[in-house]
Amino acid sequence: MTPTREEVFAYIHGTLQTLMEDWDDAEGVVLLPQTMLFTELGLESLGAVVLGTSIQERFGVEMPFGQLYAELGEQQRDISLNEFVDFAYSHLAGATWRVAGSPHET
Amino acid sequence: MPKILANGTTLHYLRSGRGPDLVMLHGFLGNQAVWHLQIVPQLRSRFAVTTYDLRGHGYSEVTPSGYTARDLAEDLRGLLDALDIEATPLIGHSYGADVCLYFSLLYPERVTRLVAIEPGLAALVHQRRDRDWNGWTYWVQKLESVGVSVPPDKSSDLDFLIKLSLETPKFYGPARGLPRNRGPLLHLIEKTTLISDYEYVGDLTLDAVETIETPTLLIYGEHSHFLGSYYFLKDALPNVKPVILPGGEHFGPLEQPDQLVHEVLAFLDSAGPEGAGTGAEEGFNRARSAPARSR
Repeated sequence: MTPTREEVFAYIHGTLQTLMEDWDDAEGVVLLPQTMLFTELGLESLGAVVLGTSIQERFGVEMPFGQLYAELGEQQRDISLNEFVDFAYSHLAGATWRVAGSPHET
Repeated sequence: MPKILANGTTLHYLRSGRGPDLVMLHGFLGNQAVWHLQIVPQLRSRFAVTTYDLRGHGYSEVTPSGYTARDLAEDLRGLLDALDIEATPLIGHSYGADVCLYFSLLYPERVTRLVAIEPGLAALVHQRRDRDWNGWTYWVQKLESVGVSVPPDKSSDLDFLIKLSLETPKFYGPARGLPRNRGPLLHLIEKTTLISDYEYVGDLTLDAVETIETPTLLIYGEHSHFLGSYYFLKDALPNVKPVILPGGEHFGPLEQPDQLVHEVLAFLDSAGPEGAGTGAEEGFNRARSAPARSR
């Protein structure tokens, strides 16, 4: 059964909170739905990779995180927690999703 | 985050995909993300891919010492033991490739095939101490391309250039353009033996390289500043398939992931389903015949 968006949000939020426990500079940072993951939260490539791998293992669905991260890097743009959850949830639901502003946006 | 005790050190690792094992090692001052951005997504349908952060790097434990290629090869042995991987193909980039070569020397029975991408080889470090080494020019140009100027008297100062590089924005990945998190890397450089350990030769002498029988795919970029090591290794390794990536530089996993995957899959496929071929296939240098793309 496809998980609800709330379940996906809770999993990603919790995984990020766990990741932040290992960061020296994350003390006092509050993770909100609109928090921008790279510029505000301080997420880096390694954390993003851990997050993506964890989500795919947890829900058993392969998702194009590599493509997402490549697009974010090429466009030098950020993504909010809410947008990230939408990306994961849309793939769980079988939908397609692109980074907002991408030439490939649908 | 999955972590495991290996050789007395806690290592952070990731496993994804299904199939025969494949273990990948990143380079100096990097982390395992280098594999995941473009390469693991193309391999995970074929292999059970294990990547990990070398000691002191990424989310692995930082120890005061223990960063020689031998130490890191022992970490790899510990990781394979802990994950119950008896023998596997290895892929290493840069210093990770040096570690793979050292591991193949120490534990040949545990490496079915080796993909060595841009190994520097500590025994050849004298080539890179020369002020005229083209790597210094490349490094300075890379810094100047992002607006960082290098005083002429510092243009071959390793310590200075490393620290200056940490002040540049990230070149790759989803956070490209954002500042680097300098703290952990500065700690690694200044508070551990990493820099001096990098030059440790140990048992991996130039003569010893000739005894590494593991079938090896040796990959360098056409414009790599480590080509001096390529020219040595392609002649010294007894069972090697040398490949030059046209237009490539040192960071093939990030710069040319698709070409890299193409070469890796062709190499591993030629070994059969378990990746344990003898290296007697077409293109190997065992008979010292020059492969089509070698130079």
